[in-house]
Formats: sequence, structure tokens, C-alpha cells
Amino acid sequence: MGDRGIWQIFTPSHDNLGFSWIVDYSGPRWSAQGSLSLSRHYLNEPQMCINRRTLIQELQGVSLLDGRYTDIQVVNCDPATGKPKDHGGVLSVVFKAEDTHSGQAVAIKFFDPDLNGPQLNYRFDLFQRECDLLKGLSGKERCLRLHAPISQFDIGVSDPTNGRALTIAAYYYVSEWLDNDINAYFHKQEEFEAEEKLRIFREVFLAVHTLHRHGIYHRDLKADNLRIATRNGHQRAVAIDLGTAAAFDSPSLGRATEYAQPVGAPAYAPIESHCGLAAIRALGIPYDIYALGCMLYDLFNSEMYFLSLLQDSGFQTCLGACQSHMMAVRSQTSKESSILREWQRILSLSSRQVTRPHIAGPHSSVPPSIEQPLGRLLNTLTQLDYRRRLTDHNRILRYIDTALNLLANRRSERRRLDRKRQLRARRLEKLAQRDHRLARYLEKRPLNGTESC
Amino acid sequence: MLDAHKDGESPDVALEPIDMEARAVEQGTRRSSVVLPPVGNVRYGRRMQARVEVTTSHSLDSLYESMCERTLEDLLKFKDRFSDSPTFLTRLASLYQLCGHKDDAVQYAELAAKIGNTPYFQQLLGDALLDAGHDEKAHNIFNGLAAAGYTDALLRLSELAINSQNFDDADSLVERAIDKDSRDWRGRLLAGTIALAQGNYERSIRHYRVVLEDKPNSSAAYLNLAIAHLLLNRPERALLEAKKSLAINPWNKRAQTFFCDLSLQQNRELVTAERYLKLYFDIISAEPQLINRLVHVYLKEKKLKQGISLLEKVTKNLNQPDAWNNLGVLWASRKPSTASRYFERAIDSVGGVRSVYQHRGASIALLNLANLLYQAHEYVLAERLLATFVSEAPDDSYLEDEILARIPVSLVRVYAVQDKNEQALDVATRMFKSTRTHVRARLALAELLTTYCRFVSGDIKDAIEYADAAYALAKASDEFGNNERNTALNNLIFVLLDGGDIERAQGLIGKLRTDVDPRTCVYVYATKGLYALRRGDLERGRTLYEKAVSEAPNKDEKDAIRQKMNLEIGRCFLERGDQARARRFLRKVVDVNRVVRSVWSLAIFQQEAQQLLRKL
Repeated sequence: MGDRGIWQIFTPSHDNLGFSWIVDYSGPRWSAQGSLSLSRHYLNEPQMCINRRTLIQELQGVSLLDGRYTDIQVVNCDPATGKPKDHGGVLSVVFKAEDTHSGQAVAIKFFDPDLNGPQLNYRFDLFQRECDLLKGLSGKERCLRLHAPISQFDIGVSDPTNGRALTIAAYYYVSEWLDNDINAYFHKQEEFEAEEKLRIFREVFLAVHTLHRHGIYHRDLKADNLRIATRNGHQRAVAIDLGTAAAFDSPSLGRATEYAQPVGAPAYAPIESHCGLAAIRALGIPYDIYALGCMLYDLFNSEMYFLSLLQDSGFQTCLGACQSHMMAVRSQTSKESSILREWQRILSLSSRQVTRPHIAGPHSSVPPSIEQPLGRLLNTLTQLDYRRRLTDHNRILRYIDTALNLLANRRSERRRLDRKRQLRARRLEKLAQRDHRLARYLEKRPLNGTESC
Repeated sequence: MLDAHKDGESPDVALEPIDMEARAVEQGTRRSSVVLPPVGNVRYGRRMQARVEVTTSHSLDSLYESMCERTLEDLLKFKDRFSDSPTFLTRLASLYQLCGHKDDAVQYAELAAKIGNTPYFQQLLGDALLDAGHDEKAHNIFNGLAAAGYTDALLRLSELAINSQNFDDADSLVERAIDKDSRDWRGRLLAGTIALAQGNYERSIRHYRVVLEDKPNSSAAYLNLAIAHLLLNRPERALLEAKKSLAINPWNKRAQTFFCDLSLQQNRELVTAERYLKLYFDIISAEPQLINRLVHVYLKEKKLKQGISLLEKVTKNLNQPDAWNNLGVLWASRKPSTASRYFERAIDSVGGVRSVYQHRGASIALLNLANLLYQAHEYVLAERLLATFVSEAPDDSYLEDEILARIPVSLVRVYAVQDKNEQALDVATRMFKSTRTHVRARLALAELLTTYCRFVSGDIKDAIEYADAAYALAKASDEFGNNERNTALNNLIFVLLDGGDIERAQGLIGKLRTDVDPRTCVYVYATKGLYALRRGDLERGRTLYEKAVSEAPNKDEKDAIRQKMNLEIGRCFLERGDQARARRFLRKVVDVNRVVRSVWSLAIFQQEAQQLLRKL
């Protein structure tokens, strides 16, 4: 590929898919100068989002995609500019469409056609892996359903330097569209009862458990990545956006020990993720467990778990020490066992000073009756040492159910007391009425003997 | 026997004194600490002057910024949907605050407080305002909440009062908070630190104990407790608490320096200090201040090899006079020529001898080099170094430093050994009279002046005066331990006996202790021997003198003591009328060929013996 490899938009290494981003690759328009200016354009002004904008415009103009998807509307980008909506970054362009076969709404997820740079291959691998994982989960009750695997859609763009037409292949897959998110339980928690929030947490946990049961961990669990779906007449939580998910037994994309970035949302990522251990397979389940703990806290507190933890000076010191040490360790060795051993050493030295937030933090809405089981659950889910996090799903479920039972008992007790109070009030009312009647009767009827006297 | 000041026997390690810092607040964007003098400057039984230091930002901001920004991006997606939820707005405000967008943080906190309208949201608004620098507005909010008895607001007001050094107001506010919740560690930590600043150390300990009941993993509370114990003259307890603080947080630099300084001062727990310092270097970084402390620990533990290899590794990067000096110190006992090279390097690194006074570490290196030259009998060079320093230093501020104040003392010794008595006397009296001179240097100068008056000028009255002054200094200052006090007392008794004031000597001799440093005991036995001989108890006097001779650490000292013994025995026989024996002993004094070259040569004994022989 020579020099051109530096500037090209895509390295065509995926022979199995048989695609290349720039179809007209070696023609005169792809002289060294031409390719250079095009790529520069992308590199210096990424906000232009030329490919993405074209994709959106073309797709929204298509009446029937693949002969079945219609009414296609982009969801996470501005259709006019192609820029991501709501300040977010974009790795994929998501469209909502209607499946004419089933009459249901579907999500069409495109690999971002503007993505460029050294991580392109890696990102595409993630996209492909996400689709593969969904394929493996098809038919499972608490999982997102895949409608169609990866397909190709060609879009035509013009080279901004000379206006010549280029064709770019965009890749997508189709999954079910789930509208009901659970964000309100977290961000508007004051409007929900504790029991409602706990039930939603139970659902979230079961969704995550389903993934774990099928050998997959998510690594980007947050309220925004969970939806409520109706399955067999029941409302079930379903984890979406499996872009960072992986199967326990799948090989790492690249070397796990070399990947230094945290995976997923930093607010829900455990400390080991911030120290460059996110890609290690052995830490997958504890990763999700920690995120569940954060979500549990966020459901009942005004402050997020992550923000409460950051306020602890002990945690700041601990994180700083762990990060710097692990960076040094990873520069010396890439052996997973050595890295994990060093991780345990540094964590045991640094974590003693950390005070983790309690479920009943300031301005918490946890009812006192469930403070204890939820406090214990939070404590076990958010342990800094991944080995000490509770990964026994049955026990976690037991904690949640205990809390729910306590709330139910409290509710029934309250109902019983209310009923008792009502009955008493009614009885007292009856007595008062009887007294009143008796008094009236006595007033009307003169006493015997009094008259005779 | 007079125990003359022996300066420069071991070179000094350059350690920058670090203030003790007792943290009052552990959370929030403004963290107040009460700063007290370094471990070495603690004066027991006295209230230490405290100042307040406020850290205004998160110490690890950059580390979190990207995390917070990403979370903020995630939340901003729902900005319109949840714009009426105080919880959501609070989260946005907190994230903006952590990302450094303080005005946005205030804006969202204001919205949350407006919708939420509870003390919690009001308090958050106050915090956001405080972080954005709107202190007055924040103060008003906290005042309103405090009037309603809201604990967090009371604590925040107390913090603000501490920051403006208004400890009385801070104390009354925090007392109100403690009345509401007596076990809240935040209030207790504040109260303890206020008490520490006010000099009420016992009270601060009581508060810190409650802090540790509520928050047993507070490294700051353990360190504060250790400081309070040290201020109450309980160094062992202080070491214990500081060790706990380090066990919880080995990355606490303040705890590291405190523990290390104290263990070096007390000569205890050096192994622990070494372990924690090494751990710090392994994991965090090689901080110059901590490196120098570890070198000192190695020196005390006599692990010179480790010290040298550590310093040789880091001096390449540091190029600090302190490090060069300390490397010289480590070499001093093994190879003085190498040591002197390192001292020279330390001096050169700050631009040579003339500008050496500008850097403490380099000044210590100069002192060490001068002492090394002195030991090598290179008196002229040593004199030139020390005299240049004294003349170049723009003011006498260096005299206040415990180590640097020894420079004029060394200069006096160098003059004395060369019999430049006038210069020596001039420097010694000038520095002794200066009130700025560190008490240890003053004591050393008093001892030297006593020696001069006794052995050179022969003015026994002045000698007694200086010995008296030295004893008074040693007694009054808590800088000194039993060894120093005993030595000063011993010297006073010696000159009193030599001056013939046996009555006063008799009143003091009972206070002389022999359960102190064996090196000091040598002279105590000699003085006791002198006392016995002056009282006519020849046998006891001789026995005690013999004991002193046998315990003297080197030949020079043995000879000097023996010379004085023979002189006194000769005098004793003379008084008894046994002229033959007196002559025999006095001859022994006179016949000594080898005169020990030391500060103001002890040849005076020879002269005295000759005078007595002439009488015979």
C-alpha cells in the first residue's frame, strides 16, 4: 500500500467481508495529491462529517432498504450536518426504521463512515463482534434481538478538492428498536417509589445476568444502555449497545495487556479499568458487577456514585498511585499474571484509606427498612478489589428480593394498620352514634316514677 | 575534667526541614490545614505558632477531567428531558464543577436549589458559589442554613473562619455542629485541628479519637493525632500514631516526612521509616526531600552501600547540592578524599564558596568539608572556607539554623588550633552574645570560651562565668537532653574545683549522673576524681581517675586525663608534705613529650606542673 496507506480512509484487510471503503481506489482521482488533500480535509476538520452526512441524506431518501425497511430516520446525528447530537461522540450512526415484514420498529446501526485513523481496524472489529454477539443471543428472553446481520450500503461522496465522485461502502446491521428507556428512574428518581426503583434494578440485574449466563460481559452498563422490552407479555430490561461487550472465551482484539484505555462509561467503570486493565478477560464479570453497584447507588441518591467516590481524598490518592504504578508495570511486562499480581499488591497498599459511599448518602431516598440489605449489597458490588466483588448471582438476587420483601411487608403492615385504624374509627363512630341515639331517647322519654313522685 | 566541645566529628546530612501539617478538612474544593513548625523545631510545654494553609483545587484535577467530561457528555443528552429534576441538575452542577466550568456549575446548582428548595440543594449551591469564588453569596447561604441548624452549613462556616485565622468563631460554630451530631468525623476533625492551632493539645487528641471511631481509615486524623502527641512531648506515642497513618496511606508525603524526621530524631523505628520511604520511591516518585531523608536513615543504620548506590542513581537527575553533600557524608567514613570531592561538587553546584550561603545544602557541605580538612590537619584551608562563608553571608540569619550556626563554632576551633587566639576570641564572644545564634551553637561557644579562659588566659573567674552560662543554657532549653546538661554541669564543677570553690562544687556534684552516654561519663569520673583529690581522698580520686582513663575512647584523651591525674596527685602529695612523691608525679606531667594538638592545647598542665616543681 506504500505511502497511500497513511492517507487512505480504510485499510482493506477484511477479505471475508470483501469490501473496501473507496471503491474507485486506484483510479486517477486517487493520485497521491488527491488522496492527501481529501484525508487532510477529514483530519483537520472532522466536524464536517462528509461521509456521515451523505449517508444520512441518501438513506433517508431511500424508500425501501433491503426491500423491507422503510421510513428511515437518523437518531443520534443531526441530519443536516451529520454532527453527533447532544454533545456526544459517535462510533456508529443509528437510524430508526419500520420493518415492513413485521410492522415493528427497528434500529439500523451503521459503522461510522467518517471514522479514520490508526484505530479504524480495531473499531470495525468491535462493530463486527457486536453483531456476532447479538447473533449468538438471538431468541434469548432478556436480550436484544438481531433482525439482520452485517450488510453493505454504498454511498457516493464527492472529493472536496476536485468534486469528483467517490463511492464508499457503509456497513450496518439491523436489530429491534426499543423505545422505553429507564433514565427517568435515575435522573428523576424523586418521582418514583423505592419499590419501583428496586424492581427496575432487579430487572437490570437479570438482564446482565442473562448476558453473563451466555458467556458475555457488557463493560458499558449504564442507565442509557438499558431498555424495557415486552417479552411474552412481561416487561423485561434489555441491555443494548454491545459495542464494548465480549465473550469470556473470545480472543482479545489485540493484546489484552496492551490496551490502556478505560472501556465504556467512566462513571460506571471500576478502578482497574482506569488503570489500564479493562481488556483483561478475567476482570469482565466484576466489571459489570461494579457498574450494577453504581447504578444501585444512583437510583437512591442525588449524587452519582462516581462523583461521591471522587470526593474522597483517599480514593484520589489511591487512583493516582494505582495508575502511575500500573503504567510502570505495563511498560515492563505484558504477562497477564504478573500484571494482576502487581495490581493486587498496589491495591492492597493503597485502598485502605478509601471510604466508599454508603447507600444512605446525603439526601438519600433509601427507606430505613431496606437500608441494611441495600447497604450490604452496595458494599459487596462496589469493592475496589475485583476479587472481593460479589459475583454470585443467586446471592445478589437474594439481597434484592429481601429488600423487596421488606418493602412489601412494610406496605402490607401499613395497609393492615390503616385497616385497623379505619375499623376502630368506624367502631368509635358507631359507638358515638349509639350514645347520641340513647341520649336523644332518654331526653324524649320521661323516667318512670319521677312523675308519680 | 573539662569536656571540651567536639565539633565536626561526623558530617551533617542536608535535610530540608518540612513543616508539620495538620489537615482540618478532607473534602471539598477548599482544604484547610494548620501548619506547625518542623519536627526539629518543636518546643515542648510551649504553644507553637500555627498558620493556616488552604488548597483551593483538587490535587489530581487533570486525572479526572476527562472522566468527568465524558460523563457530562452522557448526561447532557437529557438536558431538556430532565430540566425540572433537581437530582439531574445537581449531577450536572457537580460534573461542571469537576470539569472546571464553575459558572455553569453555579447556574445548574441555582436551578436545582430553586426547584428542590431543600437545605441539601441550598448547601450544594453554596459550595458551587464558594468554588466559583463568590464567597459572599456562599456565606449568606450558609448563614441562612446555619441559622436553621443545618450541620453541613455550620461546618462550612467554620472552615471559612479557620481560613481567615478566626479560630474562636470557628470553634463556636463547630461546637454547634458537634452538638447536633457528636460523632460526625468532619466536625471532630475541624474541632481537633482548631484545638491544635489554639495550643489545646489534649483537647485536640480527644477530638481526633472520636474522628477515628467514626472513620477508622483516616490517615490525616492519625497524623494529626501524632502531631498532637509530639507537641505534648510524647514522641513514642507520636511515632506509633504516625506509623498507623502511614500504614493506611503510604503515599501521604506529609506523614512520610513527619515519621522519618521523628524516627531520625528519636533514633527509633528506622527500619519502618526505611521500608515506607523505599515503597514511596518504588511506586510514586523519587522526591529529593524524601531521598535525603532515606540517606539519613541509611547513615543511621550504617547501610552506607545502599545509601551511596541510591544517591549515585538519583544525583544524575537531580543535580542538587543536598544530594551531593549527602553523598559526601556517606563516603566520609569510608574514603574521605572521595567525600571531599562530593562536598566540593555541592559547593560548585551553587557557584562556589562566595555564593554558598544562598543554599542551605551547599552551606552544610562547606561545613562538612571544613571539618574534614580540620581532621586532616589542613587548618589553613578549613579557615579560609569558614572565614569566607562568615564574611560573605549578608546577615546573621544563618545563625538561627541549628547546623549552619556551627560554622562560626568550627571557625573558632580552627583559629584556636592555630593559636590565633585573638580572632578566635573575637568570633566566639560576638556569636555567643548574639541572641540570634542557635542555642546549641551558643552552648558550644560557651564551652569553648570556658576552655579558653581556663587554659589560655588563665582567667578562672571568666571560665566559671562562661561555664555557668553554658549550664544555664542547657538547663533552660528543652533542646537538650540529659547528656548535654550533664556535660555542662560537669564542666562547671571542673572549673569551680580548679578555681578552688569546693563548697559550690560540693553542692552540685550530687547532680552529676553516670547513667548517661558513656563518652560523657569518662569526664564525669575524672571530675569526681578531681573532687576527691581536692578533698584529700587520694585513693578514691586515683581510682576514679583510673576508671576515666580506662574508659576514655582514644589515646589522646587517655593521655590528657592521665596528665591531669598526675598533676592533681602531685599537688595532693605536695599539700601532704610528701615532696618526693609529689616530685615523681609532677615529673610525669612535665616529661610528656607528645603534646596533644587540640583546641587550646592542654600543655597548660605541663606549665602548672613546672610551676609546682619550681616551688619544690
